[in-house]
Amino acid sequence: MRTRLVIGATAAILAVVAWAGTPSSAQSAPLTPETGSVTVVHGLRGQLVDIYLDDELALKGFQPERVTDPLEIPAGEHRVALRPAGAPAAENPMAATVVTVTPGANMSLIAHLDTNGSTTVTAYRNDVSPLAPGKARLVARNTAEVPAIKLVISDGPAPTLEPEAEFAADVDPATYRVAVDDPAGGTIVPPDDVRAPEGSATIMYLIGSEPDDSLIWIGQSIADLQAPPTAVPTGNSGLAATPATRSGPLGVLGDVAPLAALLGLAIGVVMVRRHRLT
Amino acid sequence: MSDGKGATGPGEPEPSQDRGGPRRWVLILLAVAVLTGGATLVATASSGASAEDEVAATAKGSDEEPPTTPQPEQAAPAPSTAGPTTAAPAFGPEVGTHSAQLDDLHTRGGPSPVAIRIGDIQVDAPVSPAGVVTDGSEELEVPSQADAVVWYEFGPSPGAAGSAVVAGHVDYDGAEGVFFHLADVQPGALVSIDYDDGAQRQFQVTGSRKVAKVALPTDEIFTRDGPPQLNIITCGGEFDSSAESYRDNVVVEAVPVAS
Repeated sequence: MRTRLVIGATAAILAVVAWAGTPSSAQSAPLTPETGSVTVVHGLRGQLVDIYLDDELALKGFQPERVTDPLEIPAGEHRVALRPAGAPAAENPMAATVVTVTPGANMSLIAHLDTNGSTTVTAYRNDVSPLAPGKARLVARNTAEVPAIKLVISDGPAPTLEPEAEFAADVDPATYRVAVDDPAGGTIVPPDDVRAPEGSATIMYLIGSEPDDSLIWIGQSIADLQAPPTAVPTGNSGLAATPATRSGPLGVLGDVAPLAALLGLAIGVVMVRRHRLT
Repeated sequence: MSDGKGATGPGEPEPSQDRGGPRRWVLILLAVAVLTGGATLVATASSGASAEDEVAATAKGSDEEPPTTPQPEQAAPAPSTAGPTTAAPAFGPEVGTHSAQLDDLHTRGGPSPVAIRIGDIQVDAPVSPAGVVTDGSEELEVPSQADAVVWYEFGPSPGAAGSAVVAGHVDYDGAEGVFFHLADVQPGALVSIDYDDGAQRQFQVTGSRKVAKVALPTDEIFTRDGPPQLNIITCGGEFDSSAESYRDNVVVEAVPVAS
C-alpha cells in the first residue's frame, strides 16, 4: 500500500515535471547537479604535459594547443597539478592549484605562462547563459607572458586586458579580426580572423611569450547557447483568413507533455484515493 | 538546503481547517514539486509518503510496517559531503581532446537550401537564408515580398539532424503569397529541396497543424537535435486587421525520403 502511494505521488509529481518542462526545453535543468563541467586547455607551447587531478594521473601526454572535451567533475575542491609528460608523480609539479568546482558550473582550466613567464594554471568561469536569438558570444583572455594588452576587435571596442583578465561580449555572428596592441602604441600580434557563430561562445586565449616572440591565439567553443526566433510573421493582408468561428484544430504534436501531465495527475489521484479507501 | 525544505514542507500545514482528504495531499505534493528543484523530487515523493503515514498514525490508523526509508534530512547531506571527497576522478587517459586552433573551433553546417518545390500546390521558388530581425522583436526575418521563401540559416540545413525551418508569406500587401495554399498540403505530398552544392533531396509531408502564434513552440520547431525534419511555415487562421496579422501559424512537417 505504501508502495502504491509512493508510485501515485511520484506519478503526480512526474506529471508536474512534464508540464513544467513543456514551455522551454532549453531550460530543462531544474535538477541540482552534483558536478561541474570543466574543460582543460593546454596553453604551454611545445610541451607535452601530464595532468593530475587530486593526485591521480588524469590526462597523460596532453599535447599543446589542444583542449579536452568537457569533463564532469564532482563539485568541491580539487587539486590540479601539471608535470612534464612521463615525470614521476612524486616529482614537484610545474604548476599546481586548487580549483573549487561548484554544482552546475562551466569552467575552463588553462595551463599557460603568466605575465612573468612562470608556468601556471588559471581557472575561469564561463558564461553559458542563453544568448538572445541570432547572437554569438565572443570572449578573449590574456593568458600569456605579456603585460597588459590592448585588444582590437574589428571596428569595435579596444579594451585593455590586464594579465589573466578577460573581455566578453554578446555580438552579431560574424568573423572578427582580432589584433593585440601595446597600450602604449604598436602592434604586438597582427590581426587574426576568428569566427563567432550564432548560438556559441567562442573563447580565445592569448598564449605564449612576448619576449620569445611566440604569442598566438588558441581557443575553445561552447555550443548550444542559442535561443530560437520569437515568431514567424508571414502574412499581413487577411486574404487567407478563416472566419472567426473556427474551432481550433490544434495538432496533437505539441500537446503530448500536457496530456502526460493530466494522465499522471489522474493516476496519482486514483492511487491516493484508493489508498484512503483501503 | 532545499532538500530539507522540500522534506519538511508537506508536514507543516495544519490539517485543521479542512481535512480535504487525498486530493489535498496531492495538491500539496504538486505545490512542493513545483516550488522545489527537480533533484529533490524523489526525496519529496518519499517524504510525502512518510508524512502521509505520520498523519495516518496520529489519526490512530494501524501503522503497519515501520518506515524503512531514511529521513531525507539524514539522507540528503550524505551525498553532498561524500561526493567530492570519495568520488574517483571523472576523467582518465582516454579523455578526448581536440585542436584549439582558431580555425578548428567550429564545425560548419551542411549545404544551404537554394530552392523549394511543392508540386501539389504549384510552389517552385528560390530560397534565401535569413536570421532574426534585429529591431528587438527577434522574429524570423522574412523579407517584405509576397514571393520570398527563407530558410533559418542558424538552424539545421534540411535533412540534417534537428528541425530545419523554411518560411514564406501566405499573403503580403494585398497579394497572395508563395505559401497561400500551404494549409491545403496533405500528408504524403512531396517536397523537393535544391542545395547550393548542387544536391537535391526529397521530403515527404507527414502532417500539418495550425498553432496559435502566441503558443508557437519555437524551441521544438527550431530544435537542433533529434531526427531530421523540415518545418514549412506560413500564417493562417483568423486575421487581426488592427494588427495586420494572422493569429495562427500553419506548420507543415516533412521528413527526408530514404534515397
